[in-house]
Amino acid sequence: MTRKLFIFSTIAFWIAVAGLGTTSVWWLPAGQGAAQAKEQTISPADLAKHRSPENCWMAIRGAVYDLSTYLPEHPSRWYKDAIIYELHIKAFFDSRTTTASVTSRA
Amino acid sequence: MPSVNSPSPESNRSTMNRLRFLWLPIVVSFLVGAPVFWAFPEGLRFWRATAIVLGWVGCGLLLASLLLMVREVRLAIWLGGLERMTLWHHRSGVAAYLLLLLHPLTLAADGWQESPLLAWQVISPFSANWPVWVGWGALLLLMLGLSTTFARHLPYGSWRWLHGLLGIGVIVGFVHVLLLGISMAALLATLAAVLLLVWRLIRVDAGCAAKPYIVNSVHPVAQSMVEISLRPLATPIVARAGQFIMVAFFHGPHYRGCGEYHPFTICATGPGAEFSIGIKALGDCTQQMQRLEAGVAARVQGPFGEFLAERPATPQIWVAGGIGITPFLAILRSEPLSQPTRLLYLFRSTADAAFLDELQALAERDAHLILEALPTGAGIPNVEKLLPASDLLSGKECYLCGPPALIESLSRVLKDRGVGEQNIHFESFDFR
Repeated sequence: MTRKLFIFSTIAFWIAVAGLGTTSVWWLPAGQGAAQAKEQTISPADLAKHRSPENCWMAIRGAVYDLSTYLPEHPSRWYKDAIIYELHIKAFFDSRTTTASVTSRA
Repeated sequence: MPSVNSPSPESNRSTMNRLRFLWLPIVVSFLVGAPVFWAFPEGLRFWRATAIVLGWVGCGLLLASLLLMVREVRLAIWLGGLERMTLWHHRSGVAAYLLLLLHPLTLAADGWQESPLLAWQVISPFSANWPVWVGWGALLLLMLGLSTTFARHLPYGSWRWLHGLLGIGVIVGFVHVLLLGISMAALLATLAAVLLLVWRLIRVDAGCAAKPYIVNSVHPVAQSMVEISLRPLATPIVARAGQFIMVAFFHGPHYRGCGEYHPFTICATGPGAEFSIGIKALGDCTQQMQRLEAGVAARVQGPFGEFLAERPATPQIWVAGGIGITPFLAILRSEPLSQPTRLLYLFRSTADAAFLDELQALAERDAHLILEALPTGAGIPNVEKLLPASDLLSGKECYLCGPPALIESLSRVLKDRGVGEQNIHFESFDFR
């Protein structure tokens, strides 16, 4: 019984994975290009304007990403809390200094 | 004299048994529930939250499966016996595998809501993403390990090493969890998995929990079967007749043992904490054990099992198939019976009938014992003809010991003839 369950579930799993892989090859997106990032230069000053947990941009290896919607979905609470904590700390210190700093994280 | 309302020793024992019966599901529920509670996702889309919960339930079941493969005497007593632990080890392992197969598929279902391309990218092993690579590695190791687990034709030595792939798969799986982001739940679960694996490797596989013994004497008792007497070299195990132990034999003056732990029933206890076991040639290693000699070093783990330990005062029917006679022989050798007992001893041919002369002598001396010894030939006998009719089975406790196919056949016929499941007791020795 357990052996049959193992065999059938494993076969069903590989059929589902193969189906997903095949679908992704043949699938033609309706609005291709609409979600692609625009080519533009973002200055450190512009980046520094998006530094709250709800509006969080990050410079990662030369590209700027908007992590605002992803941040709540990160599986690690520690990692998520660390980012939010750092954003708050930076905002606190920036309000007391004249030099703006850019959040850059690899 | 006890008052009318005070519980009898039998009812106390029964309450204890019920409590012990509950411990195992409680422990498994805790190991599954704790990480899910700790890492329960909040504010996520349905499919993504489902995927995370499935992953954690799978991890909890893997932890339970690891705990249940640890062979410790106290743990086995606490969780209702080694046989029950092995059954739940298998069940929780397979349940974990099924849920972990669904984990990537539900992640893909979450991506599918945006586009089929994203659904594939989330789980694609071709994406440059360490957590995904490691996740796939863990799943493939679990798949490979389980496929070899179900390959019963493999020799036990090869099977045991290939079964170890599952342990590696579990650790790689927890590395996948850690790569997704270190959290307290992930750290504790990984630590628990490593500790349980190390515990099993050191205490059980390396034999650190085993006691040193030496072979005292060897007597052939039937075709391809010997009775071995073992003498302790240090603190002995405290065992009752009819319990079973795990024994590995090593080297002697002219003997080279395979060093694998196999289960054997204690068929007699003697002075100086000596005991004897019956060994039938059922595989490569037990075939080799037929050539055992006095002076061979052995290591013993246990004792385990309570198959015949708490027999009620009601009339009983014992059915033994082949080597399955040893627990019944152990009881008959240790003490006279206190309840009417009919022993049905099934063997292939007279040459395979181990201990038959001794059993006949015991039956002549003990008025409570009726012995029926029957050669049945090769294969599973027609048990419908061998077992008593329904009216003769009424109110009797049935104890069965023998090959798994025989036990299954006997249990089915007994149930068909109205014997309650709680009145059928057996031990199957299936620890693969």
